[in-house]
Amino acid sequence: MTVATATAAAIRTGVLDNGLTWAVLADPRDRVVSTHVRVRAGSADDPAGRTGMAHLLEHLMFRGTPNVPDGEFDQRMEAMGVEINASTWLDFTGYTTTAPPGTLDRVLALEADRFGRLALEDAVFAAERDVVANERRQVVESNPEEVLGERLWAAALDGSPYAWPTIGWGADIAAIERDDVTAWHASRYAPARTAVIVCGCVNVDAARAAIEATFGQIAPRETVPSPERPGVGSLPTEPVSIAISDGVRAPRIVIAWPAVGRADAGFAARVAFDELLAGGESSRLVQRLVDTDRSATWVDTATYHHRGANLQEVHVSLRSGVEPARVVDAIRDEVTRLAEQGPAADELTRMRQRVETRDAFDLASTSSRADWMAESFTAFGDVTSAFALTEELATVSTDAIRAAARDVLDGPWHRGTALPAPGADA
Amino acid sequence: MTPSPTSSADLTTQPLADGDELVLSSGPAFGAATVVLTLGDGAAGDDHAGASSLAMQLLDRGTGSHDRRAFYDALELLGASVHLRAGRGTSSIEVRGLEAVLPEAVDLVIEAMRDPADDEDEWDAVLDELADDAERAIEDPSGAVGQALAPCLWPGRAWGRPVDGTQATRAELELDDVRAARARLFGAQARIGVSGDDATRLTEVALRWHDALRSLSPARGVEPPKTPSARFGALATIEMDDPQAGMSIAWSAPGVHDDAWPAVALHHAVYAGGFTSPLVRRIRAEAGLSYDVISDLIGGREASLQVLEISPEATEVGRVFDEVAACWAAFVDRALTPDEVETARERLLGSHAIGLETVRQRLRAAINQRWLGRPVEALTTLPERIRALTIAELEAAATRWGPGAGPCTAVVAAPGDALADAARASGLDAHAFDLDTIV
Repeated sequence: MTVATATAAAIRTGVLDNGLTWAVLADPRDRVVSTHVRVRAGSADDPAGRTGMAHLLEHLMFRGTPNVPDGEFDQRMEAMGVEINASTWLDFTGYTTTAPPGTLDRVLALEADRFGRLALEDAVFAAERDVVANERRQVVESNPEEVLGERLWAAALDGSPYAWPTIGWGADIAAIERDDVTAWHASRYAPARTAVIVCGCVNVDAARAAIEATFGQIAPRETVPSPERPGVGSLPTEPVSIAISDGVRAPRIVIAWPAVGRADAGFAARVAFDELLAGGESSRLVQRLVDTDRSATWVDTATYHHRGANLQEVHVSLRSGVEPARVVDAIRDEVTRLAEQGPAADELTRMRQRVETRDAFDLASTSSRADWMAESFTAFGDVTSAFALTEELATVSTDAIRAAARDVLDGPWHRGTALPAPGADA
Repeated sequence: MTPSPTSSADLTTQPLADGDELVLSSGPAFGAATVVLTLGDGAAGDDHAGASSLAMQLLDRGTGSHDRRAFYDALELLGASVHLRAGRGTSSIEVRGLEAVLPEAVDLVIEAMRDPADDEDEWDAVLDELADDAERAIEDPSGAVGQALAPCLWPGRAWGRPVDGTQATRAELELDDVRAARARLFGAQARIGVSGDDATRLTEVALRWHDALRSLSPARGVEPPKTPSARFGALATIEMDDPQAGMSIAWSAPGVHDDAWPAVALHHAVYAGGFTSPLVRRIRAEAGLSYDVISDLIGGREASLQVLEISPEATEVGRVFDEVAACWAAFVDRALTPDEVETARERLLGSHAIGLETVRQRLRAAINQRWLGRPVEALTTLPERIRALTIAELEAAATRWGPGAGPCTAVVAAPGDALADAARASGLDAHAFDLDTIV
């Protein structure tokens, strides 16, 4: 049994009468308590012309309800020593807290209150929309890596609800009105789309009772169904090429391949493929590009755990003067080799050891354990299925990994290139 | 060695030879463990800028008997990883893995310390990686400001130089410079830390590492460099053609041994430490001027820093300076309210407890306390001191260390017009900062 599956076995979970999923992972040895309210509604649910809606709502959830005026949510949480945060991505919006013991009832009461209903003043709405516009400029528009990624996903996933950025397009953010957001909140934040997760030094029965006493009092709601995610076979097949130079000082490229979603068959094989390519200093692409060819200073891969088909990425930081095409050819060589020959036994051992070790470090914190449960809920609709991935990686077959590599070779190779402008200082 | 431990709950320290120390942190860790060697020296002690960084970065690039690939093949077959860091005043080598494999993984690192290959190709590769990192770090205005702050606070001082040096200084480095830096680092005072389900099970590994260190540098025990005082009262401007600006404003705070330190920490939390603090409320929630309004109190042994980071639209830079100044003036002009102090106090105490959640976090915090010259018990006594502080003590601390009580140094990255506005609004002596001097 892996650390992850042992952790999953200790989770207590169920569904309340209003359809809300609850989960408690209690360990008396923990020193803090984390909560995670995970809603299965993210930027994929944004209406046309109003991209960024889910993310703007996440910001506004801190800005006032009929019972808790603007400023008081933060004040009450901080006065209990609670650290608060929130995040939005393609499939979800999540609200997290971590606190010293003894505050759970009050934390959940505040979370349930804002989940139930918002009351936003015009000035508050306008100021927060400005903050989000500012966030977009800072996090995306001033950051070449983000600009490249945003453009690549928009083109390579055209037709998918993953094609627009979670933060939204600038013009769309500016067009969102207060009533749009409150209506979206009412139609997506339903108990049946939500999990309330508690993790840490709590009593399971008391924590479950606290969830029931707060979120359990929210009436079931009709919701607008989340849009269908196209299967990997329905994604655009024409290779996309994006190039930028504004603000670029360090040359790099991104290669992106269509990839299956988290709950789809073949996901574990794609993760294994990713790990073998660039999952450590001894991985194939690090050895090839950094050690042997000396064409890159750094290589990394990203396999996203989104519900629907999306993109798997390889990021390469180029050494000065190296032609991007040379690096792409080398990557293609390595993928071909993996498809034809499969991984060596010691490569698989290294991958499994690395993943098992990473899990052990990751699961040490209560907030991370709660995140795992929330990720599972987003992808599978339950809080435990995702914990099986490490065991799946331990048994994934060589044939499955070779098939994943072949899928990559047979599909489009989308490319993003960021090179300093000719004559730039860097 | 006869242990003479001092303990704070599940943290234990044991003195080692040469004034070095072992720090053990035990608690639930799911079988994961770390062994970390921290050394009380870093880039601030470099005769040749960048030498310490290069000396550390070359440690995982092969040994006399393992080239880089063989080194990592062996390490990753164990599921272990090594993390090398050169800082300004301290440096570290951390080995992470499941407890059962840590002895073998640490032995590989010991081999690298005893017999580093210092291969020429690897040297070139590290130089390219450092250059790439430096360029990436300044691509956006916030990053540029972050990298420029230290050179502006300690101009012309080793403490203010980029830890990795610059392309120019690294190009001048010879292998002997790097070896000398490595010998200097290995001769500095050391603290070896272990974290895991039961850290005592790895004591032998830690002691073996310490023995190896002693054999490498018999003249040991050099104390870490002092934190120098920073220069305040200037505005550094970085011209960047970007619709977004980066701003950093820093002012002085006492060293952590100063009696006023806890009051300064709490006062800083009241003023700028959370979403409900007057500064964050004004800049972010009310005016919508910036997504990031980040404040930090960076504790040092002899001197500390209070830093604000704000990232407004470039056209709003002058207004943000005006808003910060108005906010400071209004804040110091009124009495602190019990409610805001209690909120900040609980936030600070909550954050302290959360920051010590995992066994590894506690180890890092304990080692940091020891480098600051405080016992590990400070991790438990600091909350008591924070809890006991009165409003009068906070107000007394604010007269010397509060916002606006002394001069500040600011760095702004923005287009030219915005920089002129920043100079007007800040009232500071402005001078242009050249980013190429730090990459």
